Amino acid sequence: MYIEVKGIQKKFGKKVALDNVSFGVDKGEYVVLLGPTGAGKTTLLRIIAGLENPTQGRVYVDGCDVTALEPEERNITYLSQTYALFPHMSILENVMFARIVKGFDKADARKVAEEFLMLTHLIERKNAYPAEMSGGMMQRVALARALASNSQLMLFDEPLRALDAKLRIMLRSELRKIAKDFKITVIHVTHDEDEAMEMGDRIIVLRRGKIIQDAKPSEIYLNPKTPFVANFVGGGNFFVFYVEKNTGNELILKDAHGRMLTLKKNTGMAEGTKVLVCVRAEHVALSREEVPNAFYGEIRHIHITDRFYEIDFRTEREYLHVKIPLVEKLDFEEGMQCWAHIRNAICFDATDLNIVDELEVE
Amino acid sequence: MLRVENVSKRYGNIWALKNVQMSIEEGEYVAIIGPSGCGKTTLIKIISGIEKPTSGRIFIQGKDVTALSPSERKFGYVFQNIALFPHMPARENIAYPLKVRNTDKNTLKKIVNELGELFGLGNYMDFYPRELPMGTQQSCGIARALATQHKLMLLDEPLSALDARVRKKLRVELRKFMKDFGVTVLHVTHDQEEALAVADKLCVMRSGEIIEIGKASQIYQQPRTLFGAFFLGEINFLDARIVEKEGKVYAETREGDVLEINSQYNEMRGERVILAIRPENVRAGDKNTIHAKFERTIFFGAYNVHIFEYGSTQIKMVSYNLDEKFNIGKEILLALSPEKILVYRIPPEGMVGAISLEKK
Repeated sequence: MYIEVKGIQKKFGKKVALDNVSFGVDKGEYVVLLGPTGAGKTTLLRIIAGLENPTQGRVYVDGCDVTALEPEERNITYLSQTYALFPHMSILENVMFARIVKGFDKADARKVAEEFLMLTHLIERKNAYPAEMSGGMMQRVALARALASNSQLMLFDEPLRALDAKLRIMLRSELRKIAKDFKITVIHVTHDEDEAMEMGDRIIVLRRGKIIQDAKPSEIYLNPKTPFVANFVGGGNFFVFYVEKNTGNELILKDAHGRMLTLKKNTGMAEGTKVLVCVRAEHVALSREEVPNAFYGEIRHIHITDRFYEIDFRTEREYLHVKIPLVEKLDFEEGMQCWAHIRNAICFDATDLNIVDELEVE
Repeated sequence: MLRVENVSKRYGNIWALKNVQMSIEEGEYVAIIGPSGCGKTTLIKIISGIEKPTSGRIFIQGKDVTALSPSERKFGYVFQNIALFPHMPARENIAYPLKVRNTDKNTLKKIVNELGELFGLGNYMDFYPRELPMGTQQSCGIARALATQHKLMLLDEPLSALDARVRKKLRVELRKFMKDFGVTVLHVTHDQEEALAVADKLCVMRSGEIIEIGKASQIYQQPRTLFGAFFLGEINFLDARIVEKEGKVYAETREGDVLEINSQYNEMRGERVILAIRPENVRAGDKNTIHAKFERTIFFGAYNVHIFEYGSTQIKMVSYNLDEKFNIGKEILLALSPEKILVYRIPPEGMVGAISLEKK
C-alpha cells in the first residue's frame, strides 16, 4: 500500500468534518473521492497534503508516517481549486517553474512544459499571461503545472470543474491516460459521478465526513451500499414498498396503494419489512400491452441525450424517469398512455431509514 | 415571440457576433450552445438590452425593442451567479418583482405561495439565501424570474454554478416549470447534455455565428457541420476517400477498409473526406466493417463504452448489453451501418481547425 490514511478525524470547533476515515491507495492507482459539496473531500485532501492537521489519525506515504511533516517535505503535488498562477510569468513560464524548482534544467523544463500544454490544449496560448485567460484556461494551466512537477503522488481537487462541458469530458480520458503513462498515483476529488466512473480505478463515496462505500465503479453502480450511493451515482426512481411475501428467490412487494412488484431477489427480508426500491431509469421499459410489474400512465415528455431517449412518464402517483437506448426504434409519442414495465430494481431495508434525509444530495 | 434580425456586435477589431438571425415561437424552449467565446453570452446580453448591437434589430412580441432599456423589454432573467438579494428571505426575493409593480397584497401572496409550493421551497421560504443549499438558491432565482409574469424568460447559464447531481435534477424540473407556465425560453449554456435535456430547439454557435439550428434530435442525428457533429455528443471521425467501384460509391478509409455509404454522397467521388459515426451506432458485426483492435472498456452503469484502436484513430462503441465483452488486443470487426455514416468534405481550415474549441 502506497498511501494509508488511518482513522482520520477532523473537528472544526464542535463540527466534525471527518469521522474515522480510513483507506489505502496502491502505487499507480487512480482513486476518486466522490461526494456532494460539504462532504469533507477537500479537507481530507488537505490533510493528506499536509495543509491541515487531523484532530486524530495518521497518514502514511510509502510506509512512512508523514502526519507531522510539512507539506513541502511530503513530495506530494496538490492541485487546489484556487490556481495561484504567477501573474508576471507567461503560461509557459508558469508550467516550467514547477519543474525548475524540482532541480531540472531549463531545456528539460521547457520540453516537458510544452508537452503538458499540448495535452491540456493550451500550446497555442503558451506566451499569454494569466490575466488574459478565462477561468477554464487557468485551471488547465494549473493542471499542466501540477503534471510537470514530476511528483509521483498527485492530489487533484476538482481539477476539471471550471472547464466547459465538452473540454471537461475530453480531458477526463486524457488526464487518466497521463497518470497511467507516467505511473503517477492520484487521489482526485469530484462531485461529478460520470467523471468518477470514467476516471477512477476505485471510487470512495464520502458523505458528511464518513466513507459510505469504497469499491470499483461497477460495484458502486451495481451494488450500492446505501440508497444515498444509489441516488448519487446513477440515480433512479425510488419507491416505498412492503414485503408481502419472500419465497427465497422471489420478493413480492406491495405499496400503500396496493400496487404489486415481484423481483427476483434472494434476500432475508421478512414479511412486512419496509423496503426502499431503487429502479434505475434504464431498467424501465415501455409497453403498449399490460404486463406484470408495470405501472400505467402517460408519456409526458421525450427528449434525446447522447445515449438515450429520456422519457418523463407520469403514473397516477408519481413521475418515472425512463431511459431507452437511442439505437432502439421508439414506438411511442408524447401524450400516449401505456405501461412502464419495471425490469429490475435494487432493494434497501428501510426499517430504520429516514428516507428524505437519505436521498438528500446537498 | 422573439426575433433577432441580422445582429452583429464588434468589440474593437473583433466581431463577437456576425449577422445572427434567429426566432423563437411562443411557448418554445430554445437553447443556445457553444464553447467559451462563441458569442452566446453576448447574444443573450443584446437580447436583454444589457449590451447594444453594432447593427441589427431585436423584436419582442413583434415590437422593435432595440432602442429600449432592459427594464422596458419585459422578460424574466436568471443569471449563472445566483443573484438573490442577500438581505431578504426566499419569500421576499420571489415577491420582489411583484412588489415593484405594486401588485395588490392578496394576489402577491397567492402567486408567491404557489411558486414556493411548485418549486418545493416549503420550509425554505423564510430562510435567507446564505442559509440555502446552492440548488435551492437557484430554484428561488428561477421562481423570482417567473414571478415577473413576463412571457419571455432569458436564462444565462442558469445551472452552471451547481454540483453535477443537483444540476441534473434541476434541469428536468426547469423544463417542467417553464412548460407548465407556458413561457417562452431562451437558455444559454456550454453544456450540450443540459441543452438536449431542456430544449425543443437548439442553436449551435461558433465564432460569433449560428452554425446549426433545429430540433435537438435532428442536429444530433444529421449535423450539418463537422463542428456540430463534434460538439453535440460524442462522435468517431475517420479519414477516408470516396471511391467508385462498378458504378457504386464507397468510402475507403485511410486504413484500407471499404465501406458502403448513403447514395446522397455520390457527388463527392474522388474527394478526401471525414466519415463520422456516433458510438452508439457502432457495433460488433460482419456487415460493412472495419478491422479494429480492442483496447479497454469504460463502465458507465447504464452502458459500456468499448474503446478500439483503428490505425492511429480511436474508435468508441457504446454497448447497452453489459455482458458483451472483448479480449484486450484482439482484432474485432466493427459494423458501421451505411445510413448512420455521415460524410463531410475536409474543410479549408483542416480537421483540427474545424473542431477547435478555442476562438479563432
